[in-house]
Amino acid sequence: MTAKTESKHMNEAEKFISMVADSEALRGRWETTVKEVTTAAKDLYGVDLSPTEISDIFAVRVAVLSGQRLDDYAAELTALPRVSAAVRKAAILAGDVTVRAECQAELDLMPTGTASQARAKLNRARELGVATPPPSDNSGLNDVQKLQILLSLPAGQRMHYARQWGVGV
Amino acid sequence: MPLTITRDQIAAAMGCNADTVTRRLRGIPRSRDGSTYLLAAVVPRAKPNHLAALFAAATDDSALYVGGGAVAMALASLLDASLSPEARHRYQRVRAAMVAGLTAARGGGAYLPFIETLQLKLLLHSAVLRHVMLGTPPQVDWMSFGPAFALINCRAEPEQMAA
Repeated sequence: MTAKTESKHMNEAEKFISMVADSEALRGRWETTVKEVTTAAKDLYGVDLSPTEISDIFAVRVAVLSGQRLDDYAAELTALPRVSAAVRKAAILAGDVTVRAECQAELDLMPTGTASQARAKLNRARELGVATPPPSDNSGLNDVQKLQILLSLPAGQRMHYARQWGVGV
Repeated sequence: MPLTITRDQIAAAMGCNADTVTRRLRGIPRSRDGSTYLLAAVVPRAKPNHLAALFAAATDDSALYVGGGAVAMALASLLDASLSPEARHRYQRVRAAMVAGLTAARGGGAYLPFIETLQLKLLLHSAVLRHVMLGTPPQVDWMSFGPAFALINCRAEPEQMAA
């Protein structure tokens, strides 16, 4: 998004806020909508949205201004920066390797030349939830121990279990 | 067994009589019926100009598993000792790539006690032997070959027989 459209977008949201502040009827609708969206975001993604963030949702603005029912806004909600971060974090916690790899790729691009850059990278990794090793099974064995167990098997069975356990490759 | 060759195939490759082959290869372990040799065992006694013909004549089952045991290890160390400087150089490259591949593998540390055995066993594998002896360009990426080879072939061998 270019800076120009960004600022235009901001203006729209600001204009909307001032319109709501001016009108009694709009304010009432705005408050109920905010309540609805806030609870939805809290329940679904565990994110506390501010009214400013909610005013970024196009469907919300339309609903408040027109007085019609709130349209489906799920896609816009998950596109909000904090919500999408929460979605990603939940996926990583659940062990989604694709999302984790995407986050890892983003981190890999960050420079670590200076201490502050390295700190920024670690902070970002913590935000994304990839600062810790991926969740493993609860067998309490590390990769080396698993591979040692594999090596006690007949050669013909090793490859199967190595793939299943994801070690030795 | 990866690369094997029969007495008749050797005779054809070397251009000599089958009895001559038997005499030249006296003492080398053979298959139970006495007609088939491991190419890795034949190579140290072959003249350099016969190597290409021997490799062309040999049967390759492309197995990743190269076998083991005291005899196989003794054959491998004999072969190791007979390598020419150029062959040794190629062998070193393959060994280094395998170790690099193992280091990158998850849990690769489990191979540490077996590294030397595995490196010796590499020579018994058909792709490695062909590349090392003939210098043909390898068809395999040794780095990714390493972990698979180690997984299948890693086992504690009895102390290598004194050369």
